[in-house]
Amino acid sequence: MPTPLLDVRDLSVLLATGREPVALVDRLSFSVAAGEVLCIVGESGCGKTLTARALIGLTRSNPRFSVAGSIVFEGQDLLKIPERALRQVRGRRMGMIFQDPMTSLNPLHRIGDQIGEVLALHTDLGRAGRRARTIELLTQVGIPNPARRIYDYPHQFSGGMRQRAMIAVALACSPALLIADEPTTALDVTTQKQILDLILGLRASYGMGVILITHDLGVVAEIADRVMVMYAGECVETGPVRDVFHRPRHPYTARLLASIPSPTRPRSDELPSIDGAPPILAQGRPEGCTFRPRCSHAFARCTEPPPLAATGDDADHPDRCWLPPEAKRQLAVLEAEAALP
Amino acid sequence: MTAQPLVRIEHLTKHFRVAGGWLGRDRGKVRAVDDVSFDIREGETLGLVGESGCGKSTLARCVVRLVEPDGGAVVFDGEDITHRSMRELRPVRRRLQLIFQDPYASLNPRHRISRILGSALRLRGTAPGVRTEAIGELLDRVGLARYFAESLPRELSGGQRQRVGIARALAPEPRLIVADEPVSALDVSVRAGVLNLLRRLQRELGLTMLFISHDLGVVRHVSDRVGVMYLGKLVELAAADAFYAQPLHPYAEALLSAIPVPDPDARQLRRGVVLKGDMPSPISPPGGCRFHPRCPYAQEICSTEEPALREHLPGRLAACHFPRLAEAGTAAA
Repeated sequence: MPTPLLDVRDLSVLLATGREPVALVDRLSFSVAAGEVLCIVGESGCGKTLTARALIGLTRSNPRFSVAGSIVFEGQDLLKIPERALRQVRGRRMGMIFQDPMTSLNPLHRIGDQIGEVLALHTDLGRAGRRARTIELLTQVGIPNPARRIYDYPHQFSGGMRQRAMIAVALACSPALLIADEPTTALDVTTQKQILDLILGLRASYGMGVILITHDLGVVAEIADRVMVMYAGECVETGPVRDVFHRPRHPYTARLLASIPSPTRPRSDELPSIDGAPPILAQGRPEGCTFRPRCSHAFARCTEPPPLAATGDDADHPDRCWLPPEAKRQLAVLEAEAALP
Repeated sequence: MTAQPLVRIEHLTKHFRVAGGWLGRDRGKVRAVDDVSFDIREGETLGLVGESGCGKSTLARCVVRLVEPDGGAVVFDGEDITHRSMRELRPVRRRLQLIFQDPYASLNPRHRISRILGSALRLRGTAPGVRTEAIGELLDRVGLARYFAESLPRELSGGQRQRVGIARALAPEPRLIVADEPVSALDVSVRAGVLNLLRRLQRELGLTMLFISHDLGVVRHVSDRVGVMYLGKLVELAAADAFYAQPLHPYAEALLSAIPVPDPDARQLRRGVVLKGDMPSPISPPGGCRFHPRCPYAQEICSTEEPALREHLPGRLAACHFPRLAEAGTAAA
C-alpha cells in the first residue's frame, strides 16, 4: 500500500470543563490516499465537524480545546508545526468547504476578488494571471458566464452557485486534499446531485483525496470509497463502503441503515427506529459501550468499553462491538427482515 | 376510504409584492402559488413535494389561512374560508391544526408541557377537571411517558419535542392536520420513530393530512397521494405507488432520480437525468412551460404554450406536453 496522503493516529479533541476534560473526539485513527473519498457519517453532536476542524487546525485558537494524537499530512505532523507553517498548508495543499454557503463568503466582496485573494496569498500569479485562473475555476465548477459573474456579489448568486463558488475557492491552488463538511446539506436535491458529480469529477481529474462529512447515508453510498461511522465521538465502524452497507458489523450502523425512508423502498407500517438519544458528552461519557443504552443487542459484557477490532480475517473492516462474529453477521439480515412491509 | 373531499383548493393564487427600488415602488411580484387546484379526501394523506422556493409552504399557509390568498378558493369541510376574517376563522381553526418544522422554536420555552397541551385542549372544550387525564392520554398517544407533562421544552430532545408538537395538534381533535416539514429538523435515528408515530395515528384515528416536505423518501412513507410543485405550479398529482414507479412529469422524474439511494451498488445503475442550472426566479418565470429551459425533453411548443394540468392516465395528472407515458407503461407492466 502506498503512503497515504493523510494519516491520522489516535486523534482526540478534549474539551476543558469544570471537572475533568471530556473527549469529544476520542482516539480516531484513519487515513486517506490520493484519489480516495472517505466519508465520515454520524448524527449531530457525534464529533464529525469537530474532527474536521481539528484536522485543519481551527481548534487551535480556542483555549478550551486541546488536541492529542498525530495528523501526518504529506509527511509532516500538522499538530507539531507552528501556525505560520500550517497556514501554508491550509488553502494551498488542503482545501475546505463548509456547510453553509450563505455565511462562508464575505458579503461585501465580489466573488472574483474572494477567489483572487486565495491565489494572491498562495501563488506567484500576477493580476492578469489571477483573473484568468479565477475565470477558469468558475468555468470548472459550472458557473455560466464566469467572465461577467466575477464582478457579482455573493447575494447575486443562488445557494447552489454560492456553494460552487466556495468549491472554486477551495480548489484555487489545486489542493491534494479536500475537506468538505456537509457541503450539500443546505441545498436542494437536484443541486446536491450537481455538486456531488462535480466533486467526483474533480477527484478524477486532479487525483485529489476527499474527506466528506455528512449525516446522509444516501450521499455516502453515492460518493464514498471508504466510510467511517461515528457515534459519541468514537469511530464505531469503518471499512470499504460496500462492506459497511451490505455487511454492517455494529448494531448502530445496521439500525441506521434500516431506518432510512428511502424512495426506492416500499412503504411499510413501521420503520426500524432507534429509541432514546445520543449521550451528551459534555456531561461525561457513559460507562462501557456508549451505544449500550439504545442498543437492542446489549448484554452483560457491554458495561466494559469494547475496543475497535476486526472480526475474523476482515482486517479492513473493524468495529467497536462485543457481539460474537456470528451475531454480527446476522445483523444485516435481522434488520432487513425488520424493515420488510 | 370515502372519496368525499374534505378540502377543495380551486385556482388558488398567492402573489407577494417585492418591495425595494425607488421609494419602495414595486419591482414585481413573486408568484408563490399560481393557479393551483386539488382536493384532499377525507382520511387520506396528501404529500406535497418540491424544492425550496416552489411555493409549497405558501400553499400550506393559504390552506390553514395564515395568509389570505389573492385569488381562487379554499373550501374546508363545505365552508368557503378564502376571505374570512380572523374572528370568523376562529371556530374553523379548531378543526385545522398545524405541525411545525422546528420543534425548538414552536414550543414556548417557559411553559410546561401540561400548559402547552392544556391550552390546546381548551379549544376542544375539555373541562378543567378532566384535563390532566386528557393530557396523559395525549402523551400516551404520541408515545411519551406521562411524567413529561411537568417538563419544560428544554428538558426534551428534538424528537420528544416534535412528539409534543404532534400531541398539541391532535388535542382539539382536528379534521385536517397540515404538517410542514415535520421531520426535517430531526436526526436520522429519531426521524424513523416520529414517522412511525404519524403512520400509527393515520391508522388509528383516520387522520386527514397535508404533508409538506422536500424529502421524497419521507413523503413516500406517509402519503397516499403525491403532488409535485415547481415555481408556484402543481406539475404532477398521482397515487403514491404509481408515482414512485415512474413519474409522468420530467421535473418529477429528475427530482426522484436526484435522490441519493443508500445502496453503493445502485450508483452506477442510476445515473438519471442531471438537471442543468438552477430554478429560475419566481418573479419572472419563463414563458410557456415553466420547466422548459431545464427540461431534457423540451420541444418548441414548450416555450410558447403553457401545458394545463390534466389527466393522462387514470387518476394521474400532469402538466406537461410530453409526459413520460411510455416509461410509465413499462414501469407498471
